[in-house]
Amino acid sequence: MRILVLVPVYNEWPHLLPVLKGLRRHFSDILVVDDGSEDKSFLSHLKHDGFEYLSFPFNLGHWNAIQAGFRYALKKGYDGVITFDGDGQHLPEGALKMAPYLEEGYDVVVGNDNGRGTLPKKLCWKALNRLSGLQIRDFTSGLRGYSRSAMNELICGPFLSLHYQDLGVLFMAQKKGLAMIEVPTPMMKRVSEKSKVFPTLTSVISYMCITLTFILVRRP
Amino acid sequence: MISYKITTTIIGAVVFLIIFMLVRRGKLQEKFALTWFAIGMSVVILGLFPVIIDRIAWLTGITYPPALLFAIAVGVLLIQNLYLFIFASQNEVRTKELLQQVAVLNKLVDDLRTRDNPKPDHKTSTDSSLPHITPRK
Repeated sequence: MRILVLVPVYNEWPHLLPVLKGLRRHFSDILVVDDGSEDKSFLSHLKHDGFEYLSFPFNLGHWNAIQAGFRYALKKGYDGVITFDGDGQHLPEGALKMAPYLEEGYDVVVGNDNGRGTLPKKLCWKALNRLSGLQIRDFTSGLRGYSRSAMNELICGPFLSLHYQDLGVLFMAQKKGLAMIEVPTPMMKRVSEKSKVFPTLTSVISYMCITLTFILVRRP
Repeated sequence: MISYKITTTIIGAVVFLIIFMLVRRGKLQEKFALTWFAIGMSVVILGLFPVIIDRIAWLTGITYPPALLFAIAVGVLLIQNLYLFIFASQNEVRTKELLQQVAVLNKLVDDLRTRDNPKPDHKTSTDSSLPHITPRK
């Protein structure tokens, strides 16, 4: 089974190279997706070290970078993809744990980490979870595996209007009847101090509202 | 004092002229221009014959005719606005899909070039005749 590891990157490249080198010990195929970073000079470092990459001229969002990776993986004939954050939060061992589940035939594999997040955040997640009727608890995790058939579904239609790889993606995947499983994986504390998805309180609130509308409109 | 009809006619004519000029200069695409032309025409006609509004109000049982006018105007603007939002959403999704595909195709083109050219490190100097697609420094 050929698996491609996708690393979406947006302005966080100082942490990137060590992460990639750690990954390379376990995986032969790695694709970095530059989501419109302002400083493009790190691409030449990647090229120099022999890493493959895609590059957007402007920022589209985390999920869209991953979708571009899906398109590449589909074109190149990969059987599965594992998404991996470039900020040092995920460990290559975690990614290794995903692969067997993909081989087993699961379409979407989510690597979860229970020790994450503050109390109010956890309460919010719980509420969203209840509303969506999903069985998966850590739906903000960026460590995920996708099968080929999952990728084919996830690159079109309503998935294009999503911004983050999170609840919305899982919710729609469940509606499409993709087989999902959650796998416990150890994770590191973030190396860079801020979350790129939720830098401020306003962004959290707007995220909550957007996700809520997305779910409520599409609930069966 | 002049007749109020002159004022309404002038306002209607000005609106219509603005729309007409915008279409002529290609600022408004024809498919949007069509609805705007209809709006412009109705403004002119209502400006010339404000009696029409009074008549329709009387027929529909509305005692205060200007209220009918405002209701129609708000309705039309709402629909136009909604249409614009739909259009914007549609465009964003299309842009995203196109950009994703461009990124992938760029990569595939790059791969082909490096395969044909065995010295990838000196690529930029030898490939100067080819169009530069990937942004790099």
